[in-house]
Amino acid sequence: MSLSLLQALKYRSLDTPIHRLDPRVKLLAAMSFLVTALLFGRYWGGMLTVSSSIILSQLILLKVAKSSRYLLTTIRGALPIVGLVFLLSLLGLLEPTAQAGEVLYWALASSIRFLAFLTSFNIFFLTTSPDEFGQLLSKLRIPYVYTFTFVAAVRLAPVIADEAQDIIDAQRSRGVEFEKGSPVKRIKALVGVFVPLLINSLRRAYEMAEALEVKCFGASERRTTYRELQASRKDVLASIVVLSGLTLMIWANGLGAFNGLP
Amino acid sequence: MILLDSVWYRYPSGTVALQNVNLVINRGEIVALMGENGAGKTTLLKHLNGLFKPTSGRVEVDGVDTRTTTVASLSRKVGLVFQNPDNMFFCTTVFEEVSYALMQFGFSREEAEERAEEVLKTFDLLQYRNSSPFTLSGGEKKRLAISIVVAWMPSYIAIDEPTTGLDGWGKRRLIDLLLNLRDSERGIVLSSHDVEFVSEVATRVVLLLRGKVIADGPAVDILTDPRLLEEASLLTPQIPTLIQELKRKGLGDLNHKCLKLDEAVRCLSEIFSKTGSHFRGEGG
Repeated sequence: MSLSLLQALKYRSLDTPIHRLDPRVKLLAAMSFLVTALLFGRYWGGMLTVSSSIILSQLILLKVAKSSRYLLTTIRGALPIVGLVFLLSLLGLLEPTAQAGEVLYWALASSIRFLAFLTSFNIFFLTTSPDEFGQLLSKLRIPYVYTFTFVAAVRLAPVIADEAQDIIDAQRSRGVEFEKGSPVKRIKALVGVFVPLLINSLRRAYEMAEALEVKCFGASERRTTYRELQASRKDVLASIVVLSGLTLMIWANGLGAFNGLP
Repeated sequence: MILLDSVWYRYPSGTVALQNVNLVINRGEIVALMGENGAGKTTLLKHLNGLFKPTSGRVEVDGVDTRTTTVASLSRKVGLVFQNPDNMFFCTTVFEEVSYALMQFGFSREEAEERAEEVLKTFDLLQYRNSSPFTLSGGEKKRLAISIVVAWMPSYIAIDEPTTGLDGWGKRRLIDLLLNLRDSERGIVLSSHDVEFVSEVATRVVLLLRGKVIADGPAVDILTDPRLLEEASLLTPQIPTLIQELKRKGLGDLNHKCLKLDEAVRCLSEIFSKTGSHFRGEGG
């Protein structure tokens, strides 16, 4: 799994109908994609139908959110691990009664299902800001100390990435070559990036802890909040659409629509 | 000689950081790049050892185009000291930190040790040779970062914001070190907002504004021009301000420019010799 997979999950601030949606609706949609991808489709035909529909729905929604290219980046980044799932599924060929065609289709369907599973939260992560995420966690009654820790970590990720780049530049300026030499030499070169990055991060964590104390973090048990999530009519409508889609899938699954071969 | 010929640089985000920059930097001069935050000073410095390649135009170091060679081989000629020295350290001891780059550049163990010892002595860090670099004070870390680069004796040394975190004595010591390096025929390029420090050390000043060079000339000309400095969001150093103020009040009619302390003493002596009796009269 390459870093591009994670890069493709980074929030991008845009003004689109999907970005404006309440994060609870987006979480509901992502959970629906995840549940559908994991539970529905007992045989390869149904599995392929369900998984392809999920990926296609994501693509349409991300198109509206002007972020569809990041779905493709995720798919590209996930290809090695999806390939591994495909190869592992081919182990079914070792069974004495196995039919080659059937195992091949099964391996393909499993790979697509895994891809649908991996991409199910793309719409949520790509269009929900760390602040909205924090508000969502607060609404879910998660203690503020955990919410804050999570949001701070997400916010600091790009800062640490920039710092890592600075350190790499500093080491390259001292004659370190990251792209040349044996794998052992390259790993050794990365130590020169990891050590200062760790020390700088620890220092920043201490400074942030002190700043939080100065700002009376945790002074009262029930803190007030500046912004709270307010669902609009559009959000309610979007939730109804998502729930209807999920109900339809459950109903179709109950009728055995995803059980047979295509 | 470092040559920047019509250099443009655009970040992947689309921000244009350098616009048509033309510069020649020679050995034996101390060039200060000055300008407000975001003017393009650090971006320009990173072009000198090939960390950044120009989007258009070319950068040449002693005739070698930076696009045709690696950062490692260019760094042998142009040593770059980063603004945050912590980003450069990762070894267990100060001594290993200095000798690390020497080994990277293929110096023998004996030669690396000899050079590291010598440079630590020059930068007054020898007593910390077995200490962790992370335990040093801000000024000592800055000196260590510069000594790491000086150890392999590059022809040019580029220093990003050399005075950040330095106290008065730290700056004084740094000025002496830089003047010594200049005397050993090295070209020094530094980026700084610190007009007082630049007044003391630079032979030439390049003013940058939103990626463009708006002035390039002898330090004494640029740093005594309040209009130019204001355009680059910089304050006039104290000595030229004092001389201009005296002139404005009619105390002295000085045509030559003063920037450094010894020049100011000469100017003031001249004023006092002409108006000394007047001062004494007022005082009494």
